[in-house]
Amino acid sequence: MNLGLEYPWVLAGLLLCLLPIFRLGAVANPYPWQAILPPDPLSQAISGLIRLLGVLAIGGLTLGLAGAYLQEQQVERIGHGAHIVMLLDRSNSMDNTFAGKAPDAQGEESKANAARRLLNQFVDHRQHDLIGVAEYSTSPLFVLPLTENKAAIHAAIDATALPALAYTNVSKGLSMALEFFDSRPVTGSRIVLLVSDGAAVIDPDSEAALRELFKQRQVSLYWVFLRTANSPGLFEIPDDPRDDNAQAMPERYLHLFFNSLHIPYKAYEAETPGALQQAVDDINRLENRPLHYFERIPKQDLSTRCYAFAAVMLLLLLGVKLCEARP
Amino acid sequence: MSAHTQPFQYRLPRPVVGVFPGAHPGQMVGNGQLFKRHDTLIARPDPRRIDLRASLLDPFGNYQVRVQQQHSAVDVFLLADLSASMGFVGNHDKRRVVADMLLSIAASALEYGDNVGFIACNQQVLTDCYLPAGKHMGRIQALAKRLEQLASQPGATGLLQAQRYLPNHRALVFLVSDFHVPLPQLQAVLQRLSRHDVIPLVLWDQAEYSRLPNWGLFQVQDLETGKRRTLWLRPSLKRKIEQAFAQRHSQLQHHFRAFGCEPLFIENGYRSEQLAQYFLKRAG
Repeated sequence: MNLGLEYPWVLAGLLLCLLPIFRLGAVANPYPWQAILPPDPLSQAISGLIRLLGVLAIGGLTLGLAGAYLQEQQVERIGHGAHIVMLLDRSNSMDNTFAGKAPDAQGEESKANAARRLLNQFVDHRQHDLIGVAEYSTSPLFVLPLTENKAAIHAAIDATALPALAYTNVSKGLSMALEFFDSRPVTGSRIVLLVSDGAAVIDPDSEAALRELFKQRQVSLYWVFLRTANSPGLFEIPDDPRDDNAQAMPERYLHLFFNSLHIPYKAYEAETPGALQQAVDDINRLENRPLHYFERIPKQDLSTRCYAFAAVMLLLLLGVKLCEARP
Repeated sequence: MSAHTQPFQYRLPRPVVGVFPGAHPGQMVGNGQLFKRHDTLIARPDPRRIDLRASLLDPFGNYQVRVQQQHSAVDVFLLADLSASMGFVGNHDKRRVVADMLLSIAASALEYGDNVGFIACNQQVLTDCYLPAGKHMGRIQALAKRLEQLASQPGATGLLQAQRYLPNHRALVFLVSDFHVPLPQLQAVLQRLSRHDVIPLVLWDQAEYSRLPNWGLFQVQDLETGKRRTLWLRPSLKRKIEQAFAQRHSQLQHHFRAFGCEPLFIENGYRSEQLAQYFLKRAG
C-alpha cells in the first residue's frame, strides 16, 4: 500500500476529525442534574458510534480533497510464459493477399491483415507474457518495448494496418529485436517471432554480429513465413544449381543461416491463414516456461472512493440526525 | 396579585421565641388571650390583671396577677438556591416559581405581621439579592421581578454560608432548591440550619423525567457543569430514569426526616394551596 496525495497540505484538515469527538452536533437539551441519570451502556456505545461516524466522514472528505491515490506498484509474480518480441515485416508485399494480389474482392485478406488478426488472438492467449513489437522495412522500427500492457500491444499490432513501407531489411530488424532483451533478467523463454513474407540477403558482417547476439541472448526464433503463391519456399531446392545462391533464393538461405545458429529455431511456411494459425498454436503450446516477472499496477485514484465512503457516513449521520428526539 | 401568589396560613410546631408581639403562640408572657399562670404582683406589677379570687385564696395573702401568654412574631426567611440548575425551564421556569414563592410567602408573612427576608445563594450568598427581615412589600416585589431575569451561576455551596445571614433566634426558613446536590452536602446544609424551623421545598419539574420523549437520540447538557451526554431514549431507559427520580425522592425524604423536617415536593409549578395543605397536615 503506497498511499500518495495530490495536495498533502490538505491533510491539515484531518485535525477537524477531532470536532466530532468534542461535539456531537445534536441539540443540547439543558438538564439540571446529569448525575441522577442512570448509566446506560447502550447509549454510550451509540454515542461512540456516532462520534466514529463523524470522524470517518470528515476523514474521508479530507482524504478526498487531498486527492489520495495508490501509487503505481509492482507486484512480483510467477507465471508461465515468455518474453516475446514480434518482429513484423512492413514491406509492400505484406499488403497483398496470399495469392500475391492486392486485396479487392470481398472475403480476401491481405497477409498483413491475417497476421494482425492472428497475432491479436495470440496475444490474448498469452496471459503473462511480456511482448514487445518491432517492425522492419528498409530500416528497423522500434514500436513497443517489452510490456505486459495488452492494450498497448494490441494497439501496436493494429498500427500495422497503415499502408506498408518499402523494402525488406531482415538483419537490422533482427538485431533490433535482439536488443529488446538487453538488461532483462533471463527468466522464462525468450522468443523472437519473425513474421515476414520474404527475406533478403544478410551481409557477412551483420551475419557474424547476429550469430553472436543470438548466442548471447539465448533466444529461440520462430519464423512465420507468409508464403505467397508461386514464390520459392524455404525448403525448396532449386532445380538449377545455378539458382542456388542467396541472391536468387534469399528465403532458403536465411533459413539455412538460422539453422546454423544452433538455437531453438522453427520455421513455418504459411500459405494460407490457417497455416499461420498452426504456427501461433505451436508457440502457444511449446513456450510456457516458468516466468518470474513483475506486474505493474497503475496509479489508482482513491478520491472518488473516499468521497463515496464519506457520503455513506454522512447519510448514516443524517439518519442519526433524523432519529433525534425533541422534548 | 396573581393566583400563584395567594397567601397561605402557616403555623409553627413549637412555641416561638420572640420579643415582638405577633400572631404565633410564643414563650413570652404578656398581653395575650391564653391564661398561663398566676404570679405575684411584685413579680409582675400589672394591677389591671389582679385576680381577686385567686388573691383571696392565696394562703400567704399575696396579690395574684393573671399572666397571659403573649403571641409573638417570627422571622420568615426564604432561602433559595439559585444555582445554574435552577435555571431549568421545563413545564415551568424554576426561577419564576421561586419568584412566585417569594411573593406568596411574603404576602402570608405580612398578613401575620411577621418579618420576611430573602437569601439567595449559588457559589456564595448573593449579597445583591439579600433582603434582611422586614415588612417592605415593595422591595420584595422589585426583587421578585429581578429574580426572573437573573443570570444563574453554577454551584450551591453558598447554602453552607447562608446561616450567617439568618437571625440567631429561631426563624421559619423556607429552603427552596432542586436539591440536585450530593447528599453529604445536603446534610451539612441541614446541620447548619438546625437552629431554625426549616421547610424544605423540593422544586422539581416533570419535564426532568416523565416528559422525556419515548424514543430517539437525546442529548442532555448539564446546566451546572456544561457536560454533554447522549442518551438513546427508549421506554426501558425512561422507566429507569423515572425509577432513579423516585429513588431520589425517597432518599431526600429520608434525609429531611432525619433532621426533623418534612419535604414538600413541588413538581407542577407553585400553588399556594400546596403550602397551606402542607401546614395543615403538619399541624394535624
